[in-house]
Parts: sequence; C-alpha cells; structure tokens
Amino acid sequence: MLNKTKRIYSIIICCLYIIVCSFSLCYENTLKNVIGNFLFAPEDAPDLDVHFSEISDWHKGTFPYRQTFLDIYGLNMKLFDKRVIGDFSFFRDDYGYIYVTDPYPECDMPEFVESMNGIQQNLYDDQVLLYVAYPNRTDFFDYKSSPEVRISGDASRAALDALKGTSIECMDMEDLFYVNSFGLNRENINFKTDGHKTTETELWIASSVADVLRSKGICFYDEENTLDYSSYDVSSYEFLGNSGRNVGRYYVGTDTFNIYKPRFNTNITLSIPDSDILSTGSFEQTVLNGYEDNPHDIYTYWVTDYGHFGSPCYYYINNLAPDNAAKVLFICDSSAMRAFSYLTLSCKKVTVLDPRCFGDVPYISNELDSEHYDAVIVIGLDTLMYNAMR
Amino acid sequence: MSFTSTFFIFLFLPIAVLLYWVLDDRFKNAFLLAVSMLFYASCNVKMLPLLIVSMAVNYVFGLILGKVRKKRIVSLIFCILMLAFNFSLLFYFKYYIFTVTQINYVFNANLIIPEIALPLGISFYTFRTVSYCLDVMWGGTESQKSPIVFALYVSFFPHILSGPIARYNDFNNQLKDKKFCITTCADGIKRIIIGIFKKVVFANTIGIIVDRIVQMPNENRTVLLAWIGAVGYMLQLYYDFSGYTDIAIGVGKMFGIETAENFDHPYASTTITEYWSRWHITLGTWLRDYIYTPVFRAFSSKENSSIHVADIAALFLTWLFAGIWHGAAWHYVVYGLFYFLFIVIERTLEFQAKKRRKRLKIKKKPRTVGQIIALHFYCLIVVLFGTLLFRVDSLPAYVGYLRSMFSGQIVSELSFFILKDVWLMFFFAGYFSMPIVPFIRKKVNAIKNVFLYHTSQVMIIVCYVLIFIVDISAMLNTSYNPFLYFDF
Repeated sequence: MLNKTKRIYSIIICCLYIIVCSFSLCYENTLKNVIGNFLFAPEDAPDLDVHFSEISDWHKGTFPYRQTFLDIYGLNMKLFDKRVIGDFSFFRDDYGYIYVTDPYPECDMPEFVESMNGIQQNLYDDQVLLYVAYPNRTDFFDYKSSPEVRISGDASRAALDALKGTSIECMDMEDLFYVNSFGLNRENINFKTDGHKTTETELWIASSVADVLRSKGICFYDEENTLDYSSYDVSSYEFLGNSGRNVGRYYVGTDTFNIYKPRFNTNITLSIPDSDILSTGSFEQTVLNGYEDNPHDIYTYWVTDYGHFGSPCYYYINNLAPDNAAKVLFICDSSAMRAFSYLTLSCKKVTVLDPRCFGDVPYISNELDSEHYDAVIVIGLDTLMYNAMR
Repeated sequence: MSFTSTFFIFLFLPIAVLLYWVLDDRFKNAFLLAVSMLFYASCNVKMLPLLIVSMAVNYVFGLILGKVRKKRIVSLIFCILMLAFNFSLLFYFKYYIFTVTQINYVFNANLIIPEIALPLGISFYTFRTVSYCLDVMWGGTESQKSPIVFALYVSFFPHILSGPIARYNDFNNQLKDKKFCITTCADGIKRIIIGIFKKVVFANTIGIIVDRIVQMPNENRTVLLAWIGAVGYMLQLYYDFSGYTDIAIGVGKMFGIETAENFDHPYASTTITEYWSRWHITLGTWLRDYIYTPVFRAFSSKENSSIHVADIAALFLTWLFAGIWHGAAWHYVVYGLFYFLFIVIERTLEFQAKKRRKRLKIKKKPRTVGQIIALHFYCLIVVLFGTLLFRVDSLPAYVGYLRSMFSGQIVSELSFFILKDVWLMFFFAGYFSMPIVPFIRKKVNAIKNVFLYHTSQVMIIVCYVLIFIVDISAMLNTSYNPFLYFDF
C-alpha cells in the first residue's frame, strides 16, 4: 500500500517536471532555436564552452514568463526582508526606495573641474555656464553611502562640492527645495523604483533654471505659462523603474509616472546632427514620441523616452514659436531628459549632448564653435557622465 | 554549463535522461559517457584532452595492477608509477605556480612563473582514479576491462566537478541491469529542487554580502561586519557545497545511480571529530581509507609503538594532505593543521577519559543539556574560525580579518544596514542547517491515519512545487553564481 501510494506521488512529481520542461522547450520554439544555434552554428563560432554559455544566457533571457518569475523573486526577497539585491547592484532603504549602487570607478572630480574651467574659458562674457546639482536622494533617509557602497547619483553632489571655490556658477536644488519646491515633498520628488526624478521634479528644475538664467538677462518665451504645472494635462501610468525591474512589482510596489502634455499650442522641430532624421510637429509628436508605442506595459515603459528620436546622445530641439528666446546647450545624462524637454517650450533652441557617447571627440568645443548659445547647463547623476566630460 | 542554469535544468538534463532511458541497455553507458564528455566540454573544452589522457593512463594502470597485484615488488613499482603520474598532473596544474613562487621568495630566485589554468574537477577525478587503482592493487575490486565503464566512472558528469568522490565498486555495481524506477527518478527531482534552493536562495544571497565584507580593507570593516562576514561564510559554504551535492545526487538518481551522501547536518555536531564525519563525508572516508589507515597501520606495526602516537602521526599526515589538497597556499596548510590540532586534543581528552573510566570502573555518563549546548557552541566557534581560513586569500589576510573581529570600530551605519539585510536569511539558513527536515520527514512517514498521510503527501508536493517556482525565479535573476568547490 505504502509503496503503491509512494509510486503515485512519484508519478505526479515526474509528470509535473515533464510538463514544465516540455512547456519551456516548446515556448517560442526554444528547442528549435537551440538546435539551430547549436548544430548549425557558424564556422567562426567560439569554443564549445563559450558557445554553451551564450546559449545558456539566451535561454535564461527568453525563459517563459520570465517577468512573472522576476516578480516572484522580488516577493521572495521581500519575505526575507532582503535589502541588498543582485550582486550588490541595488538596495532598498527603510522607506521602500531602491537605490542603484554605482558599478563604475569613483568620479574623477579634479578632471571634471578642469573640464568645466575649460568650457568657461571658451565662453564669451554674455554666455552663462551653470552647473545644476540634484537634491540628493540618499540624504533624505537614514542611510548614507560609505566608501564600500557608492550610490549612483551621489556624483551630482560630489561635483557640486568640487566646484565650490571655483568661479563656476552652481545651482543647488537641495537648497532650493526648502525655498520653493512647487509643492513637491520628499516622497514625490523621487521614484521608488527608478533612479531618475519624477516629471514634477524635472519641471521644477526646468523652471528654476529658467529663473536663474532670466536673472542673468537671458530672455525666455512665455515661461510663466510654459513652465507652470497648471498649463498641462496630466496622464498617469503605473510604472516600474530601472531598479525595480530586477525585483519585480511586488518588492516595493510600483510607481506612478505622470506625463505632462501642454494645453497650449506648440511647434517643435527635433533633428539629429549629421543625419537625415528630422521630426516636426507638436510637443507630443516630436518630444513625447517615445510614449506612443507601449504606454501600458510596466516592464517596457521607460521614463527616459522623452526626446528619443533616433539618438539619445546628441540632438537639437528647435521651438518654432518664439522669435527671440534663449538658446541653451545642455550637457547632461538621461536624468535631465524631461527637464530640458520642458525648458525647450520657453527657448528658441535647446541642444542636448550626453558626454558618455563621444569618447575623446571634443564635442563641446565643436558645438560651442558652431553656435552662439546663451547658456550652457551641466546636469547629471551618472558617474560616467562626469568622468566623460571633455 | 552550470547546474543552476535554466538551460541545464530544463533542456540538457531532461533530454539526456529521456534519451538514456529510451536507449537499449547496450548503449546506455556509452551514451552517458558522451553526455558526460559534452558536459565537461561545455564547462572547459580546453581541459577535456587532459581528462581523456588521465582516464586512458589510469585505465591501463588499472589493468596492469589487476594482473600484477600478487607480485608484491612489481605491483609496488606500478603503484608508485601510478601515484607519480596522477600526483604529477595534480602538482603541475595545482601546485607548480605556488612552488615556483615560494622558491623565488625563499631563495630570492627569478624563476618564471607560468600561467597555468586549473582544470575543472582535477582534484576530484584524480582522487577517483587513485582510489580505483589502489582498490585494484589491494584486491578490493577487479580491474575494469571496459574502457567505457571506467571512463564513465571517472567522468560521470554529476560528480566530475566537485564530487561526491564516488568509489568505483559502488558505482560499477549500479551500472548493471539498469531498470527505470519512477520513485528513484522522483526522489532525484526532489533532491535537485532542494539543492537549487540551497544554492541560489541561501548560498548566493549570503555570498554577495560575504564577498563585500571580506574584500573590504581591514580598517573599514567594523567588528559587527567582520562577525556577519564570518558567520555568513560558514552558512554560504555549507549551502553552496551541500546544494551542489544535492543536485549531483539528484541528477545521479535520475540516471538510476545512487551516490554516497556528502553531508549530514555538520553544524549540528558537538565535536570537531563528529563535524568531520558529517562534512564532506566522501572526502573524509577517502582520506581515512587511503591515507590515515595505511599510515596508522605502518606506525602501529612498529615494535613498542603506542597506538595513540600512531593515531596522532596518521592524523597529522592525513590533515596535512587534506589541507594541501584544498589548495596551493599556506592558509590551506594551516586549515588542515588547525583541524588536526582540535581533533588531537579531542582524541587525547577522550583517550584520557576512557583510561580514567577504566581505572575507576565507571560507565560513561550521558551528557547534560548544558554540556551539549556548550559543546555545540565550541564546535561552531572552531568551525567558524577554521572556515574563515578557507575564504581568505592568505595568512596575513586571515590575521587581518581576525583583528577586525576583535578590535577597531564596533559598529557603523553600514554594519547596521547589512545586519538588517541578512538577519532573517541567517536565521532561516541556520535553522535549516539543523536536522529539522529529517525530523519532519520521520514524523510524516510515521503517520498511520490514511487521510492524514495523503494530506501530508499532497502538502509535500505543493511545497516542492512552490520551492521549484522560487528556484526558477532565483535562477533567472541571479548573476552571482560561483560554485566555491570548483576552485579546489
């Protein structure tokens, strides 16, 4: 009797395993693809072990219901009250905010300061160089970064410290937070699951930058309207950010991402230098185009899709509405994508350069030689951006 | 290819098992050998020729030793040749760089340090081939005529990278008259599920924290962090290696091959001697049979020699060998001698206590709960410091780590953060390292009521399904996935 029942339960277990294996083999032609990749590998294929490793990685990446399993992984980590995720890639604080630990070498701040001085020397007297430091996410909470755990985004504060004592104009959004924060508070200034700032924060930054530049005599177009929250319609989406995606939707929950669509008329041209790519139309058509494809899939929905028209590294946005407004060069990473996008609505022209894409090419001086900008804004969170400044 | 990759679990293994049982009996061993070779090649194709050479040479040695074993001198010569061949390979690939470095250091020489990659599993398959040849010479087994069966014994893929160190007789007997048994196969699947859980949920998650703590400069490591790192490594090592062993045993079962157990809840031990009878059991029995026993016999056969002295001498050589086997560095030598020291102290105390009891004609008293707790604590502390020798890169690093465990800043924000991160994981990992599951299993099997029995069996299946789902989720997420014993 005992043997018979044991046999029955054994059959159930084996059947379950066979079902799961069969499903994974049949899912999206996995077996066919593996055989195709393996048996009909090109002649210049790498060694067998490397080849196996590649197929293994591919299988891991295309596993059925992968995202659901990642959600379960996050739930499991939550049950264990785990704060460190992955190979120390992410961690969570007591408030449920996920931080990205910086995998890159420490910021080379003397080099960055030298680059900033170099830019300033290239500018004429009527041009303004402004460094904008983000409010530090970690300072809001109990945990502070230590030499062993560098938090991505801390570079912004470190750069501000490095620029103190130089003649370069700096704008500390942390100080401004206490003076005028557009009604933002510690909770809605950041996403829980993403290192980027909320759209409200970036609009606040755009508006604050415009205020500072205006005080320097730079003209903007209708900024009281274009940079006012009430001039926009807001669409809200459930959102899982770049850090949250590794632990799924149950680890700290999901965020809400707001898209601000102008109620006023806009006429924008977005173009990429040295290419035929050109987009003309309203703000929604040109700058918000990244949101038209998959707006509801929380696993593919990025907050950095603003202005993603072909190249995230180098592009011009021309606002055709104003005749005589500011021209601004933004040297930034993805953290400022929405800030400059909204600032465009008050400017004549905004040029965006992401230093991480250019290697040793002297792209900043080239750009400054080709156009007379009223202001150069440097802003970013990523260590690599600071280290790549030339 | 890793045991804890989805590719292995959902593609390689089921296809191999299916084809193996579908094939005619005549081709089963050859097929399994081909699968084993493919598996080894998928891990490190460049070292496959070395494995094949080792198998071929030892196969010939086995045949010769089988024929000449009655001729004492000739068999001794061939035995020495066999040992020289096997340990030369091991020496060259594992210890040559260390030796040259030491010569350069001591004699201020300038010998070129070559770049030699450590072949995966060399320590394990060398032990298997040596034990086979010695068994043949000592008459414990007949030499294997079939090169396929011998090659399969050496390279059987679940065992080749990190053991368990299977014995030839145990393995060979199972290759005959193979019949598929659904219960054994299901047991194998269950064992794999548990093994993956141990590895990807406990070992990998704890390992990330341990790595970070150990790699810190000593001056940045607070006392609390140092202790978290030491305890964490103890748990990581156990779950890493026992998880691997569970998968290896489970995979073996799916091919109808039972493998010796390697772990029996070592952290439940109360003495170091007991600990080593529960930790890496197949290595312990190998060392006992092929190092300790011959050396003990050699020493105790001398006139006027004390059995206790012979025991200590045999133990010393055994533990020295065990230390060196684990790696080419002084801290591994100290690792072996560290355990030797405690085992000798325990044996001497036991020896004295036995003598005293004999003199006073009293019986051994059962231990009190307090004594058991104290001994358990003693054992865990010794193992903690012993295991740490395994993790550090050198003896100075070990001393530096010990210093940070007892001096310097006691806590920091980071240490509290890490403590909050690991405490629950440590709790569960510690809890399940005790013999809780065998206790529950025993209770379930003892249930007489039919309804309760079936309910409990269904519950067990549900638990396995849930654990498997967690396994898959962790396998898909984990990028940190080292198997610690692959380095040995």
